Amino acid sequence: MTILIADDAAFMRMRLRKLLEEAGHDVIEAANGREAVAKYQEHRPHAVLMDITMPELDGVAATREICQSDPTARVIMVSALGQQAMIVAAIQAGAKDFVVKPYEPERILQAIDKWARVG
Amino acid sequence: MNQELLVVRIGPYFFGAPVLAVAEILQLSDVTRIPRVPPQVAGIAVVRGLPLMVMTLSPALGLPAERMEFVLRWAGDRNTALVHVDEVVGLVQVDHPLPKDSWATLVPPAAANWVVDVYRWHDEWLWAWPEDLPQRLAAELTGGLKPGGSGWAAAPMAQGG
Amino acid sequence: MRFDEIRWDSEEERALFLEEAFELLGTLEEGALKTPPPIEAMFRAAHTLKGSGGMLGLTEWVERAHRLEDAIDRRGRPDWQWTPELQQLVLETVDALRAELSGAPADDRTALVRFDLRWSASCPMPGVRALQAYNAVSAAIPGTMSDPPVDRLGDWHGEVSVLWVPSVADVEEQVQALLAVVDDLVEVKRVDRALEAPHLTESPTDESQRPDRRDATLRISADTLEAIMEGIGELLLDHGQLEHRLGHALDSATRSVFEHMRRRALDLQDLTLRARMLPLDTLFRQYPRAVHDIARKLNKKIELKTQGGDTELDRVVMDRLHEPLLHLLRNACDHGIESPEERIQLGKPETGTVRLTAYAAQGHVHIQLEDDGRGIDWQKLRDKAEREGWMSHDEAERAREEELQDLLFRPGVSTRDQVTDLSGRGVGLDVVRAFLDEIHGAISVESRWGQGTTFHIELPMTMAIVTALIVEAGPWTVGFPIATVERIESVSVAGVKSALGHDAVSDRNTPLPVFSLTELLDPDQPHEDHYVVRVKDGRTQAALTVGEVTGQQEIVIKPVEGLTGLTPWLSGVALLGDGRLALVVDVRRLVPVTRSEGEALREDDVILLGSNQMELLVFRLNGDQRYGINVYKTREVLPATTVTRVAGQHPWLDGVVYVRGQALPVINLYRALDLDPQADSAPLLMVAEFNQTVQAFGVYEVEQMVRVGWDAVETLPDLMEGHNRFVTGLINHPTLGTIQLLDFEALLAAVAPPAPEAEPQLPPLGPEVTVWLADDSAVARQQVEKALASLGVTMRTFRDGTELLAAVRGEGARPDVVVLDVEMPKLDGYSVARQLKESAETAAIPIILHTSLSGKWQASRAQEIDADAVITKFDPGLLAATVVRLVAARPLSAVS
Repeated sequence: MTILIADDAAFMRMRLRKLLEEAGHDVIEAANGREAVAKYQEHRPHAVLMDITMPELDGVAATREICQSDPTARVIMVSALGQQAMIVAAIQAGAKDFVVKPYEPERILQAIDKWARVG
Repeated sequence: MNQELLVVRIGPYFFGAPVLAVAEILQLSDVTRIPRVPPQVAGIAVVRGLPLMVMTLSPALGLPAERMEFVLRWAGDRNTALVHVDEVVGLVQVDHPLPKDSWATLVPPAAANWVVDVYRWHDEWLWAWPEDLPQRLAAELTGGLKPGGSGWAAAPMAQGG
Repeated sequence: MRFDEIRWDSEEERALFLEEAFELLGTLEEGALKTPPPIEAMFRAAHTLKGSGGMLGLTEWVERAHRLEDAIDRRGRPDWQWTPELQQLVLETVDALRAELSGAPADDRTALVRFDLRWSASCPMPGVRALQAYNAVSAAIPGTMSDPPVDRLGDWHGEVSVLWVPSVADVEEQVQALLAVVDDLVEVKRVDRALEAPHLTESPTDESQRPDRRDATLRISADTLEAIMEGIGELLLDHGQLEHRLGHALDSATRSVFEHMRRRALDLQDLTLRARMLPLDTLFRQYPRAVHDIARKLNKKIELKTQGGDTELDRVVMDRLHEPLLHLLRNACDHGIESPEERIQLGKPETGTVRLTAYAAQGHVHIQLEDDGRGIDWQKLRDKAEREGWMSHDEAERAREEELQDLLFRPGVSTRDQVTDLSGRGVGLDVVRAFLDEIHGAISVESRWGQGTTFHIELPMTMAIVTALIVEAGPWTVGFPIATVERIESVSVAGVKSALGHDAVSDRNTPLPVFSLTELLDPDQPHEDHYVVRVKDGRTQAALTVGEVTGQQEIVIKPVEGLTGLTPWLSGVALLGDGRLALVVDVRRLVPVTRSEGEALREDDVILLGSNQMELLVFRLNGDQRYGINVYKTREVLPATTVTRVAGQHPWLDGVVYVRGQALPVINLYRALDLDPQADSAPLLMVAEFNQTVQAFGVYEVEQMVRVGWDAVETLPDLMEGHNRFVTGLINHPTLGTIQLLDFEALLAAVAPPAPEAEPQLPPLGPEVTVWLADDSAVARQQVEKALASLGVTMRTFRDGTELLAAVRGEGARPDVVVLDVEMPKLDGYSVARQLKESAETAAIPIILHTSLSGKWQASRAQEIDADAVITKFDPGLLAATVVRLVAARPLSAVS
């Protein structure tokens, strides 16, 4: 499946890419919320791994835009501890689930398997 | 470089605080002095029912400790630092800060920490404060920097005119 | 109008209404099912429901609530009775109102079904999960409601949330199926009315422990409280302005109303601040369960003990504390506590203990998390520091725990190499510290390799209410927490005398130092003292003279931001009723003398032991040269009394004095040190005890006590050695100049040589056994060598601890036993012992601390201070026997 990773930290994107590619997925990257929305429109990935704090447009706002334009979008938030209020906002904006950082690799893969849109 | 400064007077000197850094100007009726603190700590004032530390630059400037009437409450990051001033003059637009080498030697080492620019304003020298003045003052308190004695007295005023 | 037709000003309003409504409906429902029913509470609930509904214009709602209210109003009706019909009315009303909340049409009266969702205690964001659950169910079954309401879930960290689901066909199966998709859900339970409905967000605890906040409580959001606080603050500010402008013009009557107004506002503010405080139990309650879950997952046995849960903390701070604490708990269970098998092997109890303690002190709330697990491998951390270039090799070696712990809080640091399921890579202490920095808290850690780790969190205390004694000292008003005040007397009565060179009053025959409070605060401040206040806080005891005593009052102590580091003696300030600002002092940090005479030493001393520091009593013999003796060796200082010469005594002895029936030899230091003797004999006698003997020394003046580090002691240059063989070392004190440390053992040995060693009836151990000794006194080294000579062991001696450590580390040699003197320059015996025990490679080497300090308390401290045995000098038989014992006890696999 094609997965979009949105995170402003290049290191995080690299690790996630490695993890996903090893599991057989294709990966697209975005370094901020605005880019994430744009790349989503362009590529229509099966799922999005969205960081919360990003410049330009944060994860919650980006999620909202993506889910409004495509109600079938599957966005999974990736966040640090202590951001429960923001995750709740993200879910109200359309996100489906969340994974906590530092993440266990299996959790990310499980979340994708569970939620990613098929087809 | 255009800037808006809140001009205040401490003794015979004029300072400018970056307008956005000052949360409010307060008129205090009472500052309780506390013992065993460095001279930069004037004491404690109660504002809105809560006790806050009042810092004063007077000792560093060689000025006698006087009645504290006005303080500036600095904005930003929960730091409710209060800086004492003698008088609040008003808002002033400034530009063309003087080149640093022209005034760098006039500033005593301790004050060097709190002056980032100097402007000429109505026949007076206007010494501009940095946005993080309270943090620098606090660092002085713990870092052991001793405020200078009376280095200020003559120089800039004498040159002015 | 009906509930779903309302146009709300804000989501907040709606959430608040829902929250309150749920609670009140719950009260009515549960009440109706109890025998006897709590009619007052139910009446109030119905009344409030009516009122709130009325404000929103919910016509049908108000009608129902009103009917109910009337029915259960028994005021003025002596014949009122609780009947099954009444119960039915209550329940039907509750169902109808709930149904209205869920948006069901007016004629649909079916009750909603309640489902209790229990979330895993180790789930970090239960609020999100509850939201996901609500989303999942309400998408399929419209009209579903969540309690807590959806808008509250952002801040929610509870364990059980509730879904109210319209009663459709097969509702239970449907709900279970819909919720399958949500993680961290431990249990979904349908709760029907007939059953005893469990309480929301509560886990089983002892009800009696919780403070009584249940009666007549109202829910209020933290934001509202904040707004109230701000409003009152502005009010006070305006008051201040007015006062400034009108102050002089006011007549006394108006002035007093003015003051009154200010007092009222301040009281309101304090009340509001108070309302924000919640007991820490609110958090702690959840943890035993969380630990249980984690332990089960890890196949370990772990027990959580909590204490001090009644300590109160600002609710906002507490909210943010939950996650970091949970994180630390997880770490303790995951990395700290060993598996049951490992623990048994180590001789520990199979079940690991994690202890969570809270208490308030000095303007902070302290929380301690202690585990009895494997502890932190400091040596590994040192190695890592070197490898990563954070420290040079030397720095890393000499670094103490306090310096090393900063490294633990760097991102990416882990002293465990395994990755476990729960905590990722053990990363995260940096996150915890970042959290605490944000709320102006702090965290530190202590750890003993093999014994466990303790995290210590300090949180700012918004305020504390105490009763205090208010006094005047010079221009200042000072407050003492009443618990520290022992007695108040007028100066004339107290009888201030002179002893130890200071003013003193007598306290059960021991002198208690007297200080003028004003002078302590500012030595240049003129003052007139009329009263003496005796204070005591832990070991600190003193008598303070003050100007006036105002009296006792209840005050609210507020810490002053920015000042806490600068003025550790100030706990905070309090605004008194008359407008004055009282400085509330911390007695322990204010009073300079820390030792009260003749008492057993308590916890404070442990800080000294092992911190490479000691307290010196400084005295003078003649002229300006100062000398120092370890405070713990000195028993007391007395004015000189009659000395009786004894025939044939050593030329350095003056004779014998009788102190409380005991005969003590008096050693004349002037002769011993070859100094000019005083014309008259010395005015003071210093009584000292060590090496299990007591003796007295005549001195000219006893000045004060100073704390010095052993690393500041310089050994004498070699040239001088022959001349001053009784001087162990020198300290260059910043204000007192050079202080000479006397080698009292050598003095004693010269005056009264130790009894010949009894021949120990011990089997020789042979030269394969190596014993290393570190002692700065040549005499002591000789004595130990002689004592162990009959054992035939190979001995190696060092002049100080650093040389011994260098040999251990540099050569990789492992002695069989190490004997350490305690008082040595550069690194004291405790520090050496600690370093040996901290490192896994040397931790197994038995250590004997050979000390000249009085043995009364040493034995109990031995375990805490890492030694295997503590022996007081000088008992050669005991020393030899202990060496034999320790060698015999070593496991066979130990490296020799």
